[in-house]
Amino acid sequence: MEFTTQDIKKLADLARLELTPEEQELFATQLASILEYAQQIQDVDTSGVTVTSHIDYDTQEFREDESQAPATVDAIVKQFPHRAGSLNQVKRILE
Amino acid sequence: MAHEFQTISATSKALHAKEFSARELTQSYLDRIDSRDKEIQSYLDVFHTQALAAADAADKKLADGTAGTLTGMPLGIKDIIMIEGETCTAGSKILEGYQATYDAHVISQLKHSGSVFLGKTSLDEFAMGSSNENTELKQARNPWDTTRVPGGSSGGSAAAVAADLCIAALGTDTGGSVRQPAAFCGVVGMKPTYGRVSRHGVMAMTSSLDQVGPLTRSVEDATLLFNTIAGHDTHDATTRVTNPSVDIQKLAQPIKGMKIGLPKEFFVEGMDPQIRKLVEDAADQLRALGAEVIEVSLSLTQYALAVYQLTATSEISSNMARYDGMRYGHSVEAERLIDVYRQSRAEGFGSEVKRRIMLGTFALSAGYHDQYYVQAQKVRTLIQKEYTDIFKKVDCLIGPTTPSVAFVHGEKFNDPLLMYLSDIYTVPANIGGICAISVPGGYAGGLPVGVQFMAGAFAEQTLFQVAHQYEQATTWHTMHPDL
Repeated sequence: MEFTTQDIKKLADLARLELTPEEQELFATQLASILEYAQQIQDVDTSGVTVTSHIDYDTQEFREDESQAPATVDAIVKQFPHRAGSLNQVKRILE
Repeated sequence: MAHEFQTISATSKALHAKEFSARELTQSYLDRIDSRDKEIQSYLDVFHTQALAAADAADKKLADGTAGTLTGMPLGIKDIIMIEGETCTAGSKILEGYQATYDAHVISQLKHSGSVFLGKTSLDEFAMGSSNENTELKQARNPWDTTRVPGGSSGGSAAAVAADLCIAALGTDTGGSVRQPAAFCGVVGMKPTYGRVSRHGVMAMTSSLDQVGPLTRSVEDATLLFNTIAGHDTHDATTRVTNPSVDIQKLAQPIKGMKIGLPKEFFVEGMDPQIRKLVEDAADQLRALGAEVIEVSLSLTQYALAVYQLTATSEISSNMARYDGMRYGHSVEAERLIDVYRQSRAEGFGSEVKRRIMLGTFALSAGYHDQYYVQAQKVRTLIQKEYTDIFKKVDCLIGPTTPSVAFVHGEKFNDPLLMYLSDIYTVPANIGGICAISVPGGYAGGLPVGVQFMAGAFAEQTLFQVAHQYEQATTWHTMHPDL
């Protein structure tokens, strides 16, 4: 598996990461090398094998869906980078 | 006060016998941190005031007879586990200055036991790494040789226990992040079975693998901490409802007649011959204790690391999406929302985190998802089955914890694949969904070597018993670095 700069740019865009040209070049090489190693899992015959989708040792316990007033609202609001009162102020997404 | 390199059990007895107070004990640890940690760099944050207040509360419990074994015990906490009101960075610039808004479940349990938190220990950013070098905050050093790494990602916790800058510590283990640094620093490190310990309040890295585990100076201490943090929690639906604690009295029971497996795939060509010899010695030690040690085969072992890489990076790419500069942490000013995301993450995350996000994004992307992520989850099913089957034949497995001793700072930093290979013996237990522990097993060139024991899912009782019996038959755990 080889990665072009375009491939890396596309992945970075999907991952919401701005990468420098140096990082793009470095990751292209490193991702290829890690995948070359990881490629060995293709050698395992997995026909008829189910995917591990969750680890279930015991019956899951369900609880009632009850609303609660969390005690931590102020502490959470305090950490917003931009706030208007108790609201988190974010960028406009509609042009 | 001269009370150094003691276990929780010994220290608790001394506290109850009023040889010293919890305040004196905590003060002596704070003094040691102030003088020694300049060199070791194991703490990101030290709680001078809060620790003494907790120690005073412990002294009250000791006076009124409500104290337990962990009351007054000064602990280090990996800085990925939240303590309400305290900074929690996960070793990342993206969370510099972030204040935890609630206690992790394990922290509530420890507070209830009356333990004292000395501070938050250093780690690889978001627990991604094997050397504690993947952080721009503080890179902890190995107390046995400060030119070497303490291992990772719970490097600060392991170094702090080894240098006696806390009596014990908590770490997290996703692919070996408790056991590998424990082996490198000559202490005990334990990974509970997935489903044993709640991750509520622990920043997620790989949700289907992450577990919180203890780093201690003895197997008994690890059992004490395990019993305190393990159990069902309604805030983490993966914790098992039936979750019995380990009977500490039974650690003393002989292992005569037990069957211990020595997986031949753990002794590959190229492994450090001194480590091989020490693990073989450990197997002989178990034989001398009356156990039957037999060679077994776990033929899928070689695929565990590749399965881990694909599983971990995929889940990381998803878990790291929450760090977007919008609700907390580092946030860059930009015109457009998308640029706030992209630039906050570019500035806030280090190289290893970005690399894993990129790889995970690839493994989950359209066209490659089946070939990489799905295939990895199928091989994972087979590896779990292999472990389920082997534990029908043996009670416990023994092998090395790491393929080498602690390496020199910088030695593997520029080769991610080489770095990942240092987890080759620890990753299988995570992928297999079983429990495992690393115990001091000797020294190679003056550096600690860990022996790893593995037991089946929820078979911690057996795991701790075998590890304790081995430990008590050897003297490795009593040695400590000259500081």
